[in-house]
Amino acid sequence: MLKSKAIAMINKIQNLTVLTAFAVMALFLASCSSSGSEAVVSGDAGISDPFESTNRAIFSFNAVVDDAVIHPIAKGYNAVVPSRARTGVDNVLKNLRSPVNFANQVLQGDVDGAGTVVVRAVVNTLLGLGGLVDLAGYEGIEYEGEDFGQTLAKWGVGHGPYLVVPVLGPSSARDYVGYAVDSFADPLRWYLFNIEEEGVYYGKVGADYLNLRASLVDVLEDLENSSIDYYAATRSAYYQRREALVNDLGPDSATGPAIPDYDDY
Amino acid sequence: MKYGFLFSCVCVVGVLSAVYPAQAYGLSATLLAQTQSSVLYVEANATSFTAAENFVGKLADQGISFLSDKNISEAKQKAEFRKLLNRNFDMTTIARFSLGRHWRSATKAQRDEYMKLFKAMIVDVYSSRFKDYQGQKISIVGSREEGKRDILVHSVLKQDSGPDVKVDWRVRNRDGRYKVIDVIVEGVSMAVTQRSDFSSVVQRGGGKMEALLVHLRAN
Repeated sequence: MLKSKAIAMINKIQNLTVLTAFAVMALFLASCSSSGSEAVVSGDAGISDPFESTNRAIFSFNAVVDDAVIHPIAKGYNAVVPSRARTGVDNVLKNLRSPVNFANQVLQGDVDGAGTVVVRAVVNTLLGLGGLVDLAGYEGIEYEGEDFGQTLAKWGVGHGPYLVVPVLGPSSARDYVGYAVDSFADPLRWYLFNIEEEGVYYGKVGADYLNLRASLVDVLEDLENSSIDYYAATRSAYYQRREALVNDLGPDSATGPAIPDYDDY
Repeated sequence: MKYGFLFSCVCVVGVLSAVYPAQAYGLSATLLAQTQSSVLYVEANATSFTAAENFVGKLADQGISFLSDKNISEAKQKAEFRKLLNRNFDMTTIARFSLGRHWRSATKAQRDEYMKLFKAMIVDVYSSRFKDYQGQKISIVGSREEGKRDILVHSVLKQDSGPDVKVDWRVRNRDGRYKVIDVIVEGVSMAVTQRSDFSSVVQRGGGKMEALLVHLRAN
């Protein structure tokens, strides 16, 4: 009883997420058609943050939730669970993402990348204990996480406005729509919902979240300590990181900012 | 039961031999192609690329080694680290870039104070970054041209716990020797992040340079 009630509630939340995603998409398209250049943050070309005050409020809210609940759990997870076991969890979750990665590689026209996903999934599932061991990675066939936000970027869609999503954190209109599309289209979700194991699916979503947050503990602590305006630093880091992911972290595709020779001081 | 297990083992080996070598050949072919093209590329600038890579390798080793040396007091560590940074990082360029367009509107006194405070702050920022890397190994994996003046040296940080981290060092030849002007961790540039941070502080302080100086003084 309790379980089915919980699931019904989660279903509602999820429907809500999809709805917000569509609302965001509408908003996003609207902002694309208007000029909107005045909303670009100075000093950071390409960042548009027209909802900055709302975003800052949600950012503060997230910080409170994070300090109270999520950060301690992530830190505890890192402290209690041995690093080998954490790597195993990470490997399993990455392996479960294979269908989504594959679809996005195909949509991006990255044939090599799609091949890599297939080889990794087959090798790691059959020989790597169902994905627990990243055998393919040891052989230099490295994991590449792809999502629909990156696919949209490859198709020439810009970020649209920057968004801070409650609990989930930094995103943009494009990337949040991408996240909703990936979650909705994930064959794993369809399968688990079909066999009425929704709980397992939500467990996996929770594990994904914890895994990501745990891997970012040091990075975010560092960023917070070294910045004056943590919100602005996070926003900049988010955009840069997404840019690097869109370019598959390729050393040749990414170009740094123009840093002049300053000889007047 | 036993035969069933044997059968699945055979299947697994079959899959292994079918999938694996195919990918391995593909991989070695691409590797070969890459090596060939990079050989041609490097030959033109061989000395400068090698020199830049050696410079970064030595710097990273030094930085990590004495920050993880438990026999030195923290104050001494910081003093040593400051010397290392001043020798090998182009502070003026990093400071100027981080301030962006607000440099122009600053007065001479503000500029001087900013420079002084920035240098003090950057020692903290980079030493905490390097502290995370203590006891770990950085290996240089290559380099390429960045813009017209700079070389980007690619390195990988092998962590005891957790995945490898890609760290790129942007170095510029200043007066005949290399100096670091940016460090890029997994695609995130410290200089760009800093500039975005500072810019937001100035903007929210009514576009006044003083707003940033107040925060820097508090450090």
